[in-house]
Amino acid sequence: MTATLVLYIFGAAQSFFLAMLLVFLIARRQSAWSRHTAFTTGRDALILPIRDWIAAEGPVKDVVAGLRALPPSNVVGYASFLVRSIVPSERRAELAELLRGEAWVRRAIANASSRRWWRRIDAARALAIVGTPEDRPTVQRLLEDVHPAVLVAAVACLPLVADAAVVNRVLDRYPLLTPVIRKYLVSKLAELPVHVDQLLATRLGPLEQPEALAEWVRLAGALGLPGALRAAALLTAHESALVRAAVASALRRMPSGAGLHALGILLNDSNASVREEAAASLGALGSAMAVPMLEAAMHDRAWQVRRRAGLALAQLGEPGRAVVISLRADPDPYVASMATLASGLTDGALLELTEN
Amino acid sequence: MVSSSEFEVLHRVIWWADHLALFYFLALNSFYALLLLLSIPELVGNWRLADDEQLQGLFSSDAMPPLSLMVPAHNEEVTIAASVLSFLTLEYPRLEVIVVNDGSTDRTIEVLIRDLNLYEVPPAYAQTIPSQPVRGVYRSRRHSRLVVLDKENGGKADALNAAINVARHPFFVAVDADTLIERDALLRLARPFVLGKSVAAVGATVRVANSCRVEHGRVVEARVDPRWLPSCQVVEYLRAFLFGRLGWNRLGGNLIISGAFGLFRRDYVMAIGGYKTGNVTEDMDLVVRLHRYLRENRIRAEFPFIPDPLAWTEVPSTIRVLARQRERWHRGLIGTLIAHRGMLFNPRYGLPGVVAYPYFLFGELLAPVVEVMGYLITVVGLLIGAVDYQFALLFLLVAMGYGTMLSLWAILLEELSFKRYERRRDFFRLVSRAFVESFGFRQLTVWFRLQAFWNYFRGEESWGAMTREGFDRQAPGRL
Repeated sequence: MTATLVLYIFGAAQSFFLAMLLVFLIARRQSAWSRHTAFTTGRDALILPIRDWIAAEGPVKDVVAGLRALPPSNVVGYASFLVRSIVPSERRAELAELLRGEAWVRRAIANASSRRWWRRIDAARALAIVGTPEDRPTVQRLLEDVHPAVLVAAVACLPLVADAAVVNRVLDRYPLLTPVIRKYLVSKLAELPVHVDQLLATRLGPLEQPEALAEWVRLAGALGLPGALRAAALLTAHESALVRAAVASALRRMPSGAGLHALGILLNDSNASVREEAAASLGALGSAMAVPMLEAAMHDRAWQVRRRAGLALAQLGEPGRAVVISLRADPDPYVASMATLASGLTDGALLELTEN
Repeated sequence: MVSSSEFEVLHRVIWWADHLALFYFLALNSFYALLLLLSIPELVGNWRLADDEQLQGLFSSDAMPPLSLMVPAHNEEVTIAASVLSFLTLEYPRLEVIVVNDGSTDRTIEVLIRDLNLYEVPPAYAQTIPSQPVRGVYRSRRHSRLVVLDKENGGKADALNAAINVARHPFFVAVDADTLIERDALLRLARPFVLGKSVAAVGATVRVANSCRVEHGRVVEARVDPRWLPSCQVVEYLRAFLFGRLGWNRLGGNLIISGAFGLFRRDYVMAIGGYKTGNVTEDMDLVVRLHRYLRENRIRAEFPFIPDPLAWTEVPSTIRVLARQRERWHRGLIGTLIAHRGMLFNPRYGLPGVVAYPYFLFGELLAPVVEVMGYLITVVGLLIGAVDYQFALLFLLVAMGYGTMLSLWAILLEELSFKRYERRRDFFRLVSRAFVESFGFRQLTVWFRLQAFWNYFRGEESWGAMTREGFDRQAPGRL
């Protein structure tokens, strides 16, 4: 009897829940459809005002009014897409000035401290359109967000709001990020070369943690910042092979005597992966002055270094190729075979092998 | 003649068995409810990420880890060229496609050589995992990302092992040659890398492709087959993928990654000796062995699951083929759970041992036995008056109603997130199948799964032919 009673109660609750679920499911589909229709209609209606405004034939307020008419759940995302993909950079400030006063923008920015990460993303997206130096504290908080998607959205605000303090915090966090996000950050930091170069150069000292230091050195290399690269070139004697390898890799963006000199030192490093990176960088620099150094590296005890040196020589045009061809007759069979490999490559194969 | 005392004992046994079945039903369904609740935040997070265009752009950066896509093919001469071209046109920055002709007896390798302009190259790789002999390695003059292996027949697991040996990249994606993959599926599958997770494997959602509109090897419009059998499987797949496996994400114990589409870290798979040949569910066996390996070696790596619809597969449309498939799946489950019985309630294996393994044992493996026993005891109990007919009817209705409710939840999750079934008629077809699935389809699959016990202990090892109707493929043209 008790079991039957349990089942009755369970069944009644279940029937009620089932009915509610069904009603909600149908209502939800209907409302999603209406919202979708409202969004596509609003988006289509925006095409003409945007075209006219970009062609300087219409007022920007029509674009703002069109955005205002979009459903609240879509407006921030679509405005962000519009600014990133359609609006020319020189016209963005004009649009941003008007958008700043819009209620939906203010609401989105107020979500910067929301517990839901997708709301914080909306705040970051809105700030990437209308951000000003006054928004620095908010942007800084978003840049330190635990969710990578929020961080990615916040990084887009940097060109609008960045100052030395903000960039410094970004650089603090840079080594801790995933490789994909670091790569994205590089593209945004490239828009702030002055700040980044100065701040990075001051960080590249021997006392920093080796892992973080290696990442900053790679960042300096990726951005090709002269000040930071000069500081990196002073780390050739750093105790960590990780740092020295990063320096060897970064210096391929430093086509100067100091860079060549540092790479020459690294080509004689005790660690084979550092020597390998140095050989690759000498090839990438394309300077004929590197030929004697690479010729010596062809006799390295590690095959990876000989291989990189051979490929690098092949990259250096006629003087390099002449050396590789002459090394085919070297009495050392290891040197001769590597020279044969490097000299027999087509341009395409050489490009493919030196890219990896 | 049955004496009154014997009758009394039988009466009590049936009463207890019935109440035990009720307890089993409540416990199992409470666990389903827990999985459902756990799946909601996972689903919300994933669909928001899937919607983020800015992040999608990031996925196509060349900082994403390079992938090897492995396609075992056996007697696929009609569709192989189109399939390979659709794999070669997937969006991913660094990808190699390895097609393995697993000793086809038709013209699969000739078609590949002709249509993809292949030439033989010297084999230059280490045979780390044993496999049947490789007859030749080919590359394409037209597609630099393509490698084709021609080998002696050894089955799907053996073909994948051969491909793992040849692969150059640290992660690989195993895919069936007849699986239809979304254009950006690999980018979505690699989402955990952007989130900075240390990944051992990534599970993907597979959906039902029957009756969907397919163009150039891609599903362009999701539809629900009007026929009863495939459409019930659409609901079943939604339930299994949208809250079953997603819920396991939170519990950290996903034991199944579909063999039709899943991503694995190559060095871990190599460390456990690759796929086990001779196993009818090599995908589950691999994931369970990976869990064991990671736990035994104290390696912290996750098995995340991506709920976005990434791959589409054809499901059985006849009872005979469905019977073979379900019997094979359950036979594989029995074999895998017996092989790894040391994991049961073993805290050394963490959540997979303490939660996932017991669930798969009691909630999946033994479920058909309990269900059939429940039906039999109820019938006997009704006949001898040991079970109240009101109780029996109520139990049946509540059990069916619960199944319907879970199916509706799965449809709701789909409607809230990815909304792939745009046509109204497909939506209502799904809802109606949620109600009728419990009458007939469920009992059929229970019967097929029960047969697996008999076949397993008889030593049956066959896969059984999986007859397919095929998609309305159109040749992608020369690329």
